[in-house]
Amino acid sequence: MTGALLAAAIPALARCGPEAALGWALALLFGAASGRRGTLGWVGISLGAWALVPGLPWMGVASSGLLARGRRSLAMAAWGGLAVTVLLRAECGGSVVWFDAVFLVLAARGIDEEMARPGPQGVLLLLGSYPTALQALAALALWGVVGAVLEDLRDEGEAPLRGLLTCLTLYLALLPLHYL
Amino acid sequence: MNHGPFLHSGRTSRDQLRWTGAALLPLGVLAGARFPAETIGTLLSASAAACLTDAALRRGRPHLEGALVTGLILACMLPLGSSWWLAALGGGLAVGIGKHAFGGRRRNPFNPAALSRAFLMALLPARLLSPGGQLDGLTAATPLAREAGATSLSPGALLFGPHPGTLAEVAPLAVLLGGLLLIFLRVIDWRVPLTYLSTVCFLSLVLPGGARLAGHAPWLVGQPAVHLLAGGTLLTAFFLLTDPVTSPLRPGGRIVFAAVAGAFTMFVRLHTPYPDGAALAVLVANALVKRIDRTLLWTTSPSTARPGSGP
Repeated sequence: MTGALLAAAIPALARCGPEAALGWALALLFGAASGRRGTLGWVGISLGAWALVPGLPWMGVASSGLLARGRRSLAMAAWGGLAVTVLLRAECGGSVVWFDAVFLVLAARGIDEEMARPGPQGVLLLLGSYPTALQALAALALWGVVGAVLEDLRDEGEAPLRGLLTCLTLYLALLPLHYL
Repeated sequence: MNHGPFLHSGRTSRDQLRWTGAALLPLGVLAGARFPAETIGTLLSASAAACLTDAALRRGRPHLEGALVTGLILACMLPLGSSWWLAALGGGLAVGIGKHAFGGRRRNPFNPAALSRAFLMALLPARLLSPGGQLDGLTAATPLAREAGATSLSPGALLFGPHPGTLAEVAPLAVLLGGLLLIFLRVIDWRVPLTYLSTVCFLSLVLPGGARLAGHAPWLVGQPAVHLLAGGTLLTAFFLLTDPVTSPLRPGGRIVFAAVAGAFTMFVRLHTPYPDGAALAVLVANALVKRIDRTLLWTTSPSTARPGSGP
């Protein structure tokens, strides 16, 4: 597993800028912190895919966390969401990385307790992945609002499908903010 | 929440939907008189697809009034000259995803027509922003679109002139007439359109234009009449934000809700390349409804237990 991880990391490192390096480090940190078998593999896959598509480590973080909790279907849904996002990005241009990262993590973990509000880990993730301070602050505020909405859903025991659809709808509604 | 006993107005939700559909009649007639083929095609495709989807998903117990009104409102949000299949797809998405995927009738947190419009914009942006048909030599999503605005549009031109746009933009006075009829009949709460339109008007006067706007359409800044008449402003104010299922329970909450929608609409119009954010603003405001209701319920009735805290 370690070998696969390192092999996957090579192409990612080849395109490594400061943002990529921070994302890579955080993904590893999360993978190690979750302490479950298979998590590092997911992080490795994410890193490998990141060589092709920026922004993927966040998906790795989200899906590895979900797999560690045994919620395989949600993790798969998150990867499905990623595919949609890649298509949308191809349609909208390349400036949406910072934004879809937040929403995909929310889509994957939104109805879980930890990610409904921007805790210290979330703040780190955001600040590391956003090119400007203004975007990071906007995303933090946004995360607060969306987190509150998802908290309401969770409190009422809503189904995961409803949570995911809510995330997707909010993602589309807030799409214009990509161009801030 | 107030406690009972309650007085029943004698009007059912079906009656309200029928009145809402009837209030769209002036728009259908006026737009149909100017662009008959496009208007009829869009209205029929969207509403038929919405009704058929509802009938299929409810397995023989369709709620045709709701699906029909959803389809009609969505059709009013589509550009004239849209393909029939685009309108049909939108109608199907509105009912299929906007209503049924969220749990069915009265369980949808988002306005189905606005949700469908957002999905269509994401799925087929080129189709929605540059529809295939040519109308009077002009084709654009809305007069607010930067590419359409080499020169400023006067309020008179927006009211009566041939300009590109959605079905609702063809005859804004008809939308206003239908909306006023709904207020007169007490089908909708007057506070919602008043707050939304006031917010749009105020922010169009005070909000500075973004850097992206300056190079394309500086005439959009400081023009409240243009922002009120163009885009989906009037339709949103009277037909989308007033949906009883997706708006707050209390009058105070509805004012906050409409103000949020108005602020987001103007922010999108002046600070992003999107020509019109009215439908998206509806979705953002819809998402906050539960939070608004909870907050107001708690602050105005401290003795009331929070939901979920009871035995």
